[in-house]
Amino acid sequence: MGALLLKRAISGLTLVIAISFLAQLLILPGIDNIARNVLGELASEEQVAQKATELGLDRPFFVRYADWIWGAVQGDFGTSFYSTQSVTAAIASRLPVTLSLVILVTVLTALIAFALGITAAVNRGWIDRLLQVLVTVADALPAFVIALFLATVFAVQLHWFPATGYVPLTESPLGWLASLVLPVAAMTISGVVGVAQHVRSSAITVLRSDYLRTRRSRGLPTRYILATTVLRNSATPGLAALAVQVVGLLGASVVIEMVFALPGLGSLAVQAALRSDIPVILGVLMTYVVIVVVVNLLVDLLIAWVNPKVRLRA
Amino acid sequence: MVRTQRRWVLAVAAALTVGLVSGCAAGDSGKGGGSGDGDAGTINLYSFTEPTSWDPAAFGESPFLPYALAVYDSLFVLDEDGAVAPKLATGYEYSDDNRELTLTLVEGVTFTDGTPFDAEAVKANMEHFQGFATPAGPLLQNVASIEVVDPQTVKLSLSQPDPGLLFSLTQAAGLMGNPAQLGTDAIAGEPDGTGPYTLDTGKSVQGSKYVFERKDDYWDQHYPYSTVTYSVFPEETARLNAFKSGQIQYAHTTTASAAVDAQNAVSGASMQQNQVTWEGLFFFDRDGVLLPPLKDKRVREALTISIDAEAMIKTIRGGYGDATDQIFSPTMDAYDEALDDAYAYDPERAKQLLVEAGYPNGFTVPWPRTGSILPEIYTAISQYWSKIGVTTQDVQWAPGEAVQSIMAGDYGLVYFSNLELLDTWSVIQLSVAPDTQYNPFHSETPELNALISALQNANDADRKAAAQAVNQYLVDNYWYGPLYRPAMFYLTAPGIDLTVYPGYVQPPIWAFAPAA
Repeated sequence: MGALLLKRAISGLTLVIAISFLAQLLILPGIDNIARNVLGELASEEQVAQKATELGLDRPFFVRYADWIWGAVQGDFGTSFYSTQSVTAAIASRLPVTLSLVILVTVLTALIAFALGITAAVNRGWIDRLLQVLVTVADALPAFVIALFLATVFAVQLHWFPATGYVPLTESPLGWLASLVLPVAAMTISGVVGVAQHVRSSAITVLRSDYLRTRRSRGLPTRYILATTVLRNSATPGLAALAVQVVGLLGASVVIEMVFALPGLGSLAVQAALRSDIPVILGVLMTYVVIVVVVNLLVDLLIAWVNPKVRLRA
Repeated sequence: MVRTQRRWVLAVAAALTVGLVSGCAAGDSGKGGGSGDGDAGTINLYSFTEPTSWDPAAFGESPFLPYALAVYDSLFVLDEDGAVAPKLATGYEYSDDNRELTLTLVEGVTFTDGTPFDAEAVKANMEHFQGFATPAGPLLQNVASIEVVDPQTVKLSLSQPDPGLLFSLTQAAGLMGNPAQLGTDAIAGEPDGTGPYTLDTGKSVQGSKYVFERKDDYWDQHYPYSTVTYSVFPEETARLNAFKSGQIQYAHTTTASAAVDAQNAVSGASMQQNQVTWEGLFFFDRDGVLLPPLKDKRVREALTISIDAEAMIKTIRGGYGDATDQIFSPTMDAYDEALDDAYAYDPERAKQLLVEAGYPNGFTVPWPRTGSILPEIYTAISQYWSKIGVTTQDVQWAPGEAVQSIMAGDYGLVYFSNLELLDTWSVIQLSVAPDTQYNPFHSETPELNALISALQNANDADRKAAAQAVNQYLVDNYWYGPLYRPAMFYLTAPGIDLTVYPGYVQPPIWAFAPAA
């Protein structure tokens, strides 16, 4: 397990550095527009030049990058080009929103997907056919379409939930939950059947296996077999699909946060990307990379915990 | 073994939750009390943009002004007709040669720490503004020196006459911050002005929501709302959903169908209109450097009159907006109602003009598109032009690229939208005079320069006529090909009266009042 952790840490770090370098490179062609975009169309050429110097944009690429890396290793990601807020503060204030979304969606997706997948595999029949139909429908419906629909019906027309905004958990747990119901529902609906499909196919394989037949022939109760043999052996592909799903959620949260005006990392990322706010873009990217690395690590650990075969291999 | 591992997983989950909780912004939501004399409680407003800094010199164009005017007072304000009206400055006087402006200041106003607002404060703020890389533009570039005559009088000496100076003092250049704080990180993070409200930083979430509390002892007019919140909604769907569900009591949009839909969703809501921009053709390359045909006035005319602006308003803008052929808006000196229909849609004449100009088979123009303009507009114009033989070659600007590209002179002709909410002189200084941002090819003629100079030196009585003469020249020479002023829709919830101030894109707080 120690070796696994070390390997993961090293590959994670390499990923962080490579992505930060690539991101800096990608921004390079638009670098001349930044000071003008920060100040807008009314500023004079002299004011734009003054701003470019203030932001350090007139320095060579490698000086800027080295400077950024040096700050980043000390936990200082700089200050937004557009506001006086430090990038660390901006991310800290927005991370809870995105984490709330991602964690709730992941937990819900896992619970529903495993229940749905195993039920479909065991019972087949109408529930299985329903799942197959739902997979196609969910594939065709992106999360933001579902989000727009939910917002229109449950927030604007029925007034059951707030249409936009986020309430911190510390301020009001009920308000927090209410502000997350619609976005979480939209993201879960669009993602759950995909994971359920993976659980279903691996559960079917397990159900047809010889060792399961052997266990059954010993007279073990079905419920016990389902909870141990079937769940455990079909968990690995399901959890792997879930890990991919979580990474995808970070992408989906960008749009969902816009639709519900949630002040999360996704909306920050969009805003920063649209106006080339380099320090914020890099800060958000690094946060995303760290989240992805941590999620993958957690899922690996979870799989190793569920499935002893994986543990032996590691 | 299994059990300990399970506990470990639980511990990780618990740690994550704790991190989540402790990471949440602190602060409790306050409801403005509805009690007290003249207190209408809380009003929830919205803005599509967030303030970048609270330094008074850091506020940019009109969208940022409502934030600024909540906490700062400006020397002058714009009244309901868009005209300059007194605020911290109670009066002004120009010298005969227009090179000295003397301002008289209000008495007895102080900042929260007791620092008096006086002539020294004005001098400190203006000098701070001049040295700041401000998004508001070089508004005080002609102010050569600022002299404190006495605590209530300040005299500005100008390097050249500046007909736009008073207007500039209604904008960011006129915002007065505490002179003891100017240029510090403190004022950038928390405003310090003489304005009617203070920012409650504890309840505000940067980039998402700003909460303002009314000052009990504000020196000027009474404000009915004790608490004002601004929620930031850059995205239209979220903004209108928030309005429809009652989370915000004011919203604006430029999409006619969305505005009507939102109004219908809230019973008793009202909708008003304002026109804050003009859209149309910008003939930058008037000397034909990149696009030789543009040198000929007849070609510029042909390109303009081959487009049916009325039809575009009807089909693309839902019938809202006014056709126009001038770049000045009705609140400006230079505006002349007759020039709104100076050009008539006439494709036959356009074809004829191209023949006369030596382009019987038309020509090809690069046609840059930006995401901030509806794509169907570009397509419609391409179709109109194809009928007179002019072919467009589509080019896509990346987000944030358009303004810089225009100013760098990459294109001789673009379709664009320009803020109109400036005064006549600022429009000229932004896009007509030879060395300005929206004149990338530095086009000028001796006649136009003479007209601009006459306007610059005109006294109060002659200024309007001089401004209209510039406007007439631009229209006669097809300097631009303006098509229309699109409508901006303001939606307000029942129970709220909004007075539209044509000089402000987003209404300042004083425009809102409880319905009688």
